[in-house]
Amino acid sequence: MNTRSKILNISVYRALSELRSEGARTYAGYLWWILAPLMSLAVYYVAFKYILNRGTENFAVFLFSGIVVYRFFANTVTRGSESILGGKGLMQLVYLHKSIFPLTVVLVNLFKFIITLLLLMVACWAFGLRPAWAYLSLPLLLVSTTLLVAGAAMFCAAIMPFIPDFKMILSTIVHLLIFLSGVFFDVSRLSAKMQMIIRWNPLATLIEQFRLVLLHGRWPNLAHLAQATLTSMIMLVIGWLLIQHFDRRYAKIS
Amino acid sequence: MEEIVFDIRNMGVSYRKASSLPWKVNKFWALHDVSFKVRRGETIGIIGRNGAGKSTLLKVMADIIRPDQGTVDRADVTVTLQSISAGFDKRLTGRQNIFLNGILLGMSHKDVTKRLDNIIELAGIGTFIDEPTKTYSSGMLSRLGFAIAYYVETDVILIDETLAVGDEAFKKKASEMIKKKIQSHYTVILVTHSLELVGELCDRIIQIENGCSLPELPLNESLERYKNTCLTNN
Repeated sequence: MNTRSKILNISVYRALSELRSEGARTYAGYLWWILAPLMSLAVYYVAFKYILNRGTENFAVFLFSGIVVYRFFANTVTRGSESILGGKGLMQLVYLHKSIFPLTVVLVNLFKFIITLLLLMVACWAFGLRPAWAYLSLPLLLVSTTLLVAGAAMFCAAIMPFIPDFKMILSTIVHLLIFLSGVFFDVSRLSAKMQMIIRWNPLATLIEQFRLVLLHGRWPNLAHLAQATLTSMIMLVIGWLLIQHFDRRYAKIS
Repeated sequence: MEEIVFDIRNMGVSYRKASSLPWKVNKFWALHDVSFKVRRGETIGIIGRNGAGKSTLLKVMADIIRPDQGTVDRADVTVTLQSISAGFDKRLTGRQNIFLNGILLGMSHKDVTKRLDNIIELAGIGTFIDEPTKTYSSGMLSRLGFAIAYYVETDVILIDETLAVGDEAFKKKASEMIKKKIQSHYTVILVTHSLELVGELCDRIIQIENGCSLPELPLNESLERYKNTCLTNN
């Protein structure tokens, strides 16, 4: 039986190996960690600013902050959901607690997220936004976001081996979430009723809080943040319990 | 009275067969009724024809899967399956993969550092150790895998000989290293088709036939019985 510290230890080591090997996979290597989000920013920026003629003040950083958080979520959940299935060969040969597989993906993407977050901060300064004391709340937002991402990834990874069809449903959900999370629009400008509905989506809340801090220099709304964190924790606990329950069943699925 | 490491009683493992609908459960019993005990320091040979359930048995002993019936009592021991290479990341160098695999097999970073030179020497792949493992031949990969697993500190070693590959010279070296371990205090479970090896190395033999363990006989009679079952069924 792997203890919790051992699980984390192995996950961290696998994540570091994965990061190292990713750099060796392409010609541009580590540069892709910055280029990939910038390219997706360019696509949406052109689409909204020039084709649809939308766009608020500081639209580039507004959009980028949404994209950066959304990408952390989407990439981790998509890859994490397949991680236990992908570890099938390894789990036949050595007992590993299966949470190690999604956790590795979470850690890899957390590292990349921090890098793009730093890039976002630089972009904010370049657009004339001043650093504020509210930046001190960023670690809290980071923890909260990681809990959400880890919770969703664990839950999806736990059920995917049993229900392969879930892969199709998940890709639609992840796609839908880019529209339901306020990546392109400001949640606080919606009608009160719509706001209430959308705030049940922790990703929307977290993107909003990141924008409050980085774009407006204001402290996050603790009530909203608490609600998002609670939802994330519930998902994380359910995901963990599922993996724990099925830990020795995954190796038998062929 | 020596300590009992494994006490397996009427153990069975079932797999779900692929079915068209999720609520239609088709069970397939890979193991029906396996019973035997293993004492510390013993070397046990497990023989049986292809598909008899030997690999499934090793997975249960390594605690990779749980039995669906019967019981498996295990003393507080660490169990390692010898010869693994599935944890390799092909884009990392051999040296980096030694650390990655060592940690997956339960070693600490410090343990791996301490044994690094020994592992590299046993693998015997020269300067390739600092090249990405995607440049390795399959023989080199299995040598490296063997070398890492060999230096894992463990109480019980499970060896699935059918997995062993490599050229003759390495096979000889590997079986000599294994013999050394067998002669020391380790508890070894050896799955093999080579009756010679079993006769030479093992204290006891467990024969698995269609998912059931046959009643245990003394070593020589056991070998005779296995030869006979193979003859009558072919």
